[in-house]
Parts: sequence; structure tokens; C-alpha cells
Amino acid sequence: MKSRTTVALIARRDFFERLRSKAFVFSTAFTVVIVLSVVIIPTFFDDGDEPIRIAAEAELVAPLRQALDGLELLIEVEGLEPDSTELLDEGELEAIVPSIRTLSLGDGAGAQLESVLVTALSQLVFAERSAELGIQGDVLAELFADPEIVVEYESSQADEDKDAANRGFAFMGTVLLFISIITYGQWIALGVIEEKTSRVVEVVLGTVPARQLMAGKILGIGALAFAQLLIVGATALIAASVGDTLTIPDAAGTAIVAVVVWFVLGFTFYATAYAATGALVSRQEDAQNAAFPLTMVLVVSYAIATSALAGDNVVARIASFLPPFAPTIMPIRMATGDAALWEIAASVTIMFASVVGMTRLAARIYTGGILGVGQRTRMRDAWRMARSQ
Amino acid sequence: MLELRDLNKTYGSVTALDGCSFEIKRGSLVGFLGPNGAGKTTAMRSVFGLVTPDSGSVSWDGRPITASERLRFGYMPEQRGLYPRMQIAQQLVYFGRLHGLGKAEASRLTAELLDELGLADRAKDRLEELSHGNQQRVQLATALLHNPELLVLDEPFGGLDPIGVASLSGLLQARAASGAAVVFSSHQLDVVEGLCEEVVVINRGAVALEGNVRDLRSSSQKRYLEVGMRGAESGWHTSLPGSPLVASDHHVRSVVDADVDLPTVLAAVNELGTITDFSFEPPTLSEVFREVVNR
Repeated sequence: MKSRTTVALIARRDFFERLRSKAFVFSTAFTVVIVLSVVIIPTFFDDGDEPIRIAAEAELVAPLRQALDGLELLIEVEGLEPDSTELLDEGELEAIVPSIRTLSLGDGAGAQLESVLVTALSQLVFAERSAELGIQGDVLAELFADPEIVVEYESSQADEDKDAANRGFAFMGTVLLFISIITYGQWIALGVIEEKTSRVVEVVLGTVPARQLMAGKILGIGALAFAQLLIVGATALIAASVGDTLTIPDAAGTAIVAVVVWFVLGFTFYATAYAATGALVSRQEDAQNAAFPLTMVLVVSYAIATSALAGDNVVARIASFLPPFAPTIMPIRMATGDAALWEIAASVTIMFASVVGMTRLAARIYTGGILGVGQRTRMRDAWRMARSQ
Repeated sequence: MLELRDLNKTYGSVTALDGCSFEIKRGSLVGFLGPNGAGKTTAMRSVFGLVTPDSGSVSWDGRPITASERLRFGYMPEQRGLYPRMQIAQQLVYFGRLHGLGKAEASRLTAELLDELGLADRAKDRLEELSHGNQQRVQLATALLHNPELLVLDEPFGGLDPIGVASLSGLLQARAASGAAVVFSSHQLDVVEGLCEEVVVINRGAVALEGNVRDLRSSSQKRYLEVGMRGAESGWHTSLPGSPLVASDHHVRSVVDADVDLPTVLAAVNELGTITDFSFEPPTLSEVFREVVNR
């Protein structure tokens, strides 16, 4: 039988058995609930869509409404009441127009509101003066027709926006990779230990080589991790677009490709390491201790990634070439534009080679450790045991 | 044919296998015996690559065993283990497919075997919901499902009641009769004696005795002479050859040389009174085993 078929069989079992398990269903549901609450709850407090309320002297209400119609800023004009000043103080109203030449603004009113209102009032004043000067209505309409002024932002501003979006996207990728490895890496280690504790590994390894079992396990649980990520991610995006709380960054295509490539490389690198770790212990309780060095490396690389986001530095620069750190740091250095093309090429090459190397190393430790019973297999013993296989 | 040739394996200062060599032919059902710690499990695991011998070779039909040969082997390890939370039918289909069966064939064989083992109505139960005995049956089914050419079972009779022993015996005989090479380890020597034509006995990592059970027993220099007697004078048995193990006025059981002249003994006993019982037997397998191991 082809080894690919075997690996696929193993991966499918690991995927579907876990997919049905209560643990997976609950953890997915729990995460979805958390994500939904994080995305949706802010919308209850968000008043972004509510119109800005202003009060104007009775005669000015209608002309002001007309002047303010069709603006991007939604402004509701109401008649001036005795308590309007009070409402202005409380922030319910943002501006009061007691007469055509007076405008009092509340604390919350921004510069944009001010300029909009001043413009609108100016139009009214001009209209008044035009009438006094005897200018005809149609001439007036022509005079005050939309001047159609095109506003252009200086290009550096646009680039900055784009850079910020890319940086944000890259950092999001790094955070996601960090969380995925910590969570799903542990799943892989536990999956390996589960087969050891139930002793089923003896039957399986009497049939298929250890390397294939490891590959199948990583693929199966990796696919499951990806499925959960998709479910949670899709929920977040849908909720966000419904609730309009999150704008998806306008990232360039290359940034997306970079994040995905680094995610796959990083996940594979660490997943094999977690599988090897699982093979060295025999009890679920030991999984966390055994994985501690890996967790430390991850935390350090996360910290360096954060520093790289703030600005390029020597540590980040060096670390972006070192396999355990590169997957979290390089995407960020790429997004900030600090990494030269040759640096990116070198780092990806080193990382790719390391993934291959790590897979071999992990397979060997796994092979040596997986059949070990009792307390803990030392890495050196596992290495030696595997050599004699 | 399975052939283990001069296997050696040490774990630190412990020698598990010390030049162990034997073979199991197709169509034969062989009992693999030895005291605790003799190296039985190590030898069996070496067939599946679960142990790597320090030296020596394991071959099937004259070729070294690789992953593709193992697909045609069935193994029931000493430490039982399957996936506790997986449905048993699914589990069997999974292992069948790992052994290279197609999906439809694996499903068909699973249904047949579960039926044969009396577990058809439990097909959808998870393994952990089954009793110990039934879990053992599923473990056996995992080894049998793909109709292996070589079947290696480590203590398959352990923990079985007499009915379970009888039905497993029948299963193993049927597999051997249909051409598979079957070898199993056991401490239940009476079961082995009733079931196997051949045995291999290992002690301290090396084969101490092997061959046909009947031949091994009769090659012993000892025989058991047992006589039941009525109407003889007391002390009648003193005229019999050998040394008595049990003696009374109407019964004696004694150890005699294998080459004693049986007609002469029978004639002499007949002179003493009325014979109610007479047997002349080689040692049981269990006795042969103890003799070899204590040597």
C-alpha cells in the first residue's frame, strides 16, 4: 500500500474522531461565543450611526435642514426650546443656532461639524444678502450650485494608511499563529500521548511505520485546527460585517500571501516538534511540562515580533533568520518594509530547510520515544533507540 | 514461513534474547512457551519491528520483513490496546484498511467477523462500553480481520473462561487449517497440549526445546505407571519397578524408566490381584516444560 494512502487514512481517523468529540464541539462553540460577544457587544454601546442633534431658531430650521441635506454627516435639526441650552451642556445637543449669525458649539462637537455648520449658515447669510440686493432666484441657484471641488490627499498619506493596514494584518497573522501553535500544538502532543496510554500504538506500529503515523496525526489534527480556525474566523467576519464594528484592513495581496506562507511553515515546524514532545512522555499530565521549552521559545518570538512592530532592531533582524522565530517576526518586518528582498528570500529558504530538518528530527525522536513505556523517555535515549531501528 | 535466526537483544544489563532461532511454517499452529521473562514478547515484537534486535534476522518466506510484509501479518500484543472511544465496527474497518483492504471489503469482513465472535449487535458501541472479555474479542478481531498469512498472538488465552478458550482454540485451528502460520504464547500448557502439534520452548532468551508435542513428551526418559488394584496383599506395589509417588492398598502411581518392558510389568501385576486400572504414560507437556526450564 502506498504510504500516502496510509497517511491519509490515519489523518482522516484523527480528524473525524475528534470532530465528533464533545471536547472539540464544546471548545469550538465556546470560542464562537467569545468571538461573537467580543464583536457584537461593542455595537450596543456604539452610537456612530446616530445623527448629530442640533437646535436652531424656528425660522432657521427649514433652511438649515435643506442646506445640510445630502451631507456625509447626518445632522438632525430641531426647533429651539427653552431647555436647549441645558441639553447642550449635557451633550444631548451638539450645537445651538439661536440666530443666523450665532453658533454655539457643545464640548463634543468636532471641527468637521463646525465647518459644516459655518458653511451652511454662510449660505443662508449670502441668500439673505442676495435677496436684499435684488438678485433673482435662478441666478442664486446657479451661484450656489455644488462647486464640485475635488479633494486629493497627498500620496504619502494614502501610503501610510496602506502600511498601517499591512502592519495590522501581519500582526494579526502573528497573533493567530502564536495562538494556533500554543493550542493545537498541545492537541497534537495529547493525541500522541493518547495512543501511548491506550497502548493502541503497539497495534498500529505493528502495521505502519512510525513516521507515517506521525505524519497522519499532524495532518489530521492540523486540519481539525484549521477547521476550527475557519469556523471561528468566519463567525468573526460575518458578525463584524453585520455589526459593522470591524473594518477588514485593506491589505495588499502580497501581505496576505506572506502571512499564509509563514503560517504554514511555522505551524508545520512547531507541530512536528510537539508530536516529538508527546512521544517522550507517557501521561497526559506530563504533556505541559514536556512542551514547556517550546512554549518559552514561542513567547520569546512573540515578544520580538512585538518589538519589530514598533521599529526595526538588531534582535528582530537576527531573529528573523532563525527558524523558531522567523515565522512570527519576518511577516512583520516584511509589512513594515524593513526587510530587504534578499533577507526575505534567505529567511524563507532557511525556514523551509528547517521544516524539512525538523520533520526528520522529530520523526526520529518520535520513532524512538513512541514505544517507550513508563516515566519519561530522555531525548538522547529516543535518538539512540531510533538509530538502531 | 517465519524464520527467526540467531536473535540477540539486550536492554542495559538484561539479556532478553540470546541467540534465539526458530521457524513457524504455513499451516501450522505453534505454541510458544517459556517462563516469565524468557524473551517471548521480545521475540514476537521483533517480527513487527517493535523491537530492533542487536543482531540476527527475522524473515518471511526467506526475505527480510518490511512494512509491506507486515500488512499481511496479524498481531495481538501482550498489552492490549485499541481506541477506547471509537465504535468497534469503525475501528475494525480502520485497521482492515491500514492493512490494505478496500473500504467495501473491510466493511464486509468486519460484519462477518463480528457475527462470528457474537458481537454483531455491539457493532456501533464504543470499545470502552464493552466488557473486558468482549474487548479482548475485538482485539483478536483486529488481528484476524484481514486474513493474515502470519498470525502472532501474545497470551491470547489470558483471562478467558473455559468457553472462551474453546471458541478461540477453534478459531486458531481454522486459521491454521486454511494455510496461515499461527504462533501464540501461553502459560496454559494444558490448553497448548490439547491444541498444538508443535511447540517452541524458550528459556533465558534461547530456544530450549522445540518440536512435535507427542515426540517431545515421548522422548523423555520418564514414564508414569499407574495401576488400580483390588484384592492384593498390602505392600503389593513394592514388587513393581520404579519409585512410587503415591501408593495405597488399591492404587499406585510411580515413575519408571521409559525403556521398561511393559508386557512383563503387566504380567507381573496381573499375578498380584485384579487390575481395575492400568496406564503407562509419558510426562505431560507441563512436566516436560518444567524439566527443561529447571535444567
